[in-house]
Amino acid sequence: MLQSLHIQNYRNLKNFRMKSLDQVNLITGRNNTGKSILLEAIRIYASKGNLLDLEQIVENHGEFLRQRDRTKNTESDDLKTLSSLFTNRTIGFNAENSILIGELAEDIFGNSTMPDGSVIIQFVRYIDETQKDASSNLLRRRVLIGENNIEADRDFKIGFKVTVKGANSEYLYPLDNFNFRRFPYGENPISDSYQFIKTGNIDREINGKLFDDIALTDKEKYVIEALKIIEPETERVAFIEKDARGRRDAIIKLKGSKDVYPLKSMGDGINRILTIILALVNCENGFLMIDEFENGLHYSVQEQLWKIIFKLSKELDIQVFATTHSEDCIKGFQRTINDPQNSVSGKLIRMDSIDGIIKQTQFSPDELKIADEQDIEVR
Amino acid sequence: MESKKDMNQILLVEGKDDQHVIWALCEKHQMVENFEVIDCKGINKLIEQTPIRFKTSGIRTVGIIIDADDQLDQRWEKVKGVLQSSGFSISGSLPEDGLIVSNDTHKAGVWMMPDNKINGMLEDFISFLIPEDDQLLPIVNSTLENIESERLNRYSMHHHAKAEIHTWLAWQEDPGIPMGASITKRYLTTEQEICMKLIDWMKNLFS
Repeated sequence: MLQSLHIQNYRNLKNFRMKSLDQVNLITGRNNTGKSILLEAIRIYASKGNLLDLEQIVENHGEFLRQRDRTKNTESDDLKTLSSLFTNRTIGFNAENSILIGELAEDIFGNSTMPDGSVIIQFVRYIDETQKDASSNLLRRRVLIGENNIEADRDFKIGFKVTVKGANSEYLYPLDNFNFRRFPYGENPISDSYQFIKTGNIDREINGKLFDDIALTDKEKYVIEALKIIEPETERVAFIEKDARGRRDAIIKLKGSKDVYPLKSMGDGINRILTIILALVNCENGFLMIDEFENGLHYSVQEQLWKIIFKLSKELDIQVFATTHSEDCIKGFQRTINDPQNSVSGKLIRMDSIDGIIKQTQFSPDELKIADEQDIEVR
Repeated sequence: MESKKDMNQILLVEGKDDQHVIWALCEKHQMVENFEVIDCKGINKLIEQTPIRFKTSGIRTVGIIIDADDQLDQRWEKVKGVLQSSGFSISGSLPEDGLIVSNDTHKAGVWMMPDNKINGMLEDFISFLIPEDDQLLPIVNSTLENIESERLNRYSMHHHAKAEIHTWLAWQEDPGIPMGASITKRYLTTEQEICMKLIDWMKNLFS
C-alpha cells in the first residue's frame, strides 16, 4: 500500500505531493486538474513502468504516433509519442527532467529522497563503445550524465530508460529501434497486482479471463453478491464464447428461472458493477483504480457498491483509488466510511489547478459528514 | 439579494435573522454584492463547518458573525482555535473593530455580536440602532422592568435584549416586523458608530 505519493514531471503533475493516503481514496476536482493523470501515475508505479502499460496510456490519450507501415516509424515519432508522458512534453536529459513516481520521503535535511519502489522514467543520451580485448570485442553502453556531458564530437544515441529504485532494475530502450512490445533483455520487474478501469468502461474485454481466474473460488461469491445490488435474484454468472474470434460475454441466471440471459440485456449498471467487481477480486494485495466511479450507476446503487468495495479492500488488502464528479458518489462514500460497521480508512482528495500548479486538499470522514449534513460543496 | 453560487467570499451567520439584518445593512449602505451570507442554523454548526469552508474549491474569504452571548471570552478562544488550525496566526484578544487576518491563501474575519467587547447577541446590536429620541423605547423598558420585578417574564434574563427588541418591533407601524425589514423600512438607524464599525469590517474583509 502506498502511504504517500510524490509525482514529478508526469504530465500536468510537475511536482505533486500527498503526505498521506488511505486504503480507499476518492479523488474529485474540476476537469483538467489531473485526476485521471494521478490514476495513471499510480498504474505506472504498480506496473513498475511496464512498457505495455505505457503503451496503453499513450494510446488512450491519442498520443500514439504510429505509421501505417510499422517499419517506417521514425525515431522522432517515438520520441514525440513518449515525450507526451512528460510535463510540457519536455525532452530533457537531466535528472530534473525525469518522471518520478513513488512514496514521499525526505532526508534529515528536508530534501526529497527516492524510497525503494519509486519508478524513474527518463530520456538519456548514450554511446555504444567497442572495447577491444585480446580475444573479443566488448560492447559497452555508456549513458551520458548531465547536459554538460555531451561529447559534441561523439555520435550519441537517444534512449528511453525506466528504473525501479531498489529493485535492481534498469532498462534502457534504444529509440533508434523502439517498440512498446519489445521486452528488454532480462526479466521485467514483477509488477504489483493491479486493475485499471477506464472512464466509460462498462464492459472490459478481459472480463471473461478475470472471471476464469476466480471461478469456483470464494471470490466468485463476492461477484454474485455485488450483482445482487442491482438484480437481487442473481444466482450465477458465466462467460460464453460469442464469436469466432473468441470474444466472450457474460450470461446470468436468475433464481426461479430456467433460462439464462445475456448480462448486456440488463443495462449498463449491472455490467459496470461486474466490471468493477471482477477487477477488484483480481488485484489482491495490489491496487484498484476506477476512473469515474459513477459511470452507468444510478445514485441509489453507489452506496451499496462502496460498501462492498470497502469490505473487500480490507479482506483482500487492496488499495483503491477512484475518481468522481458526482455528488451522489461522494455522499455514498461518506455514508459508507462513517458507518459504525466500517473499519477501513478512507478520505476524499480534491485536486485544484491554481495558476497551473496542481494542489490537493484532503477531507477526513468527519469533515465529509459535516459537509454532507450542512450541504457544503466539497467538489 | 439572491444567494449566489460560486462566490469565493462568504459570511457565515448563526441564523435567518442575522442573514436578513446583514442583507438589509448591505443594501442600506450600498455595498458591493461580493460575498454570500450563509445561514448555518446555529452556533455549533457554524463553528463545526468553518474549517471545511476554508477547504472548499476556490474560496478566498470566510467571515463569521456570532453572538458573544454570556461567554465572550470562551467563544473567542474557541474561534481562535478553529482559525489557528486552519492556518492563521492569531494571538491576543478580539480587536474592537472585529478581526481580519490573512495567510498565504485565505482571509478570515470574526465579528462577535454585539460589538466585540461586551456579552450579548444580535438583538443587543439591533437595540443600539433604535433612534436616540425614540419615545416608545422608554415605555418598552419600563414594561419589561415591571414584569421582571413581578417575575412574570417567561424569558430568561439572558434573553432580555431579545424581549426588548421584539416588543419594540411589535409596536411599530407594521407590528412584528422582522429585524432585517425594520432596517429597510428605516425604523432603525444605521449611522450609529457601532453599525458603521460593522459595515467597515465587512468592507475591509470583503474588499
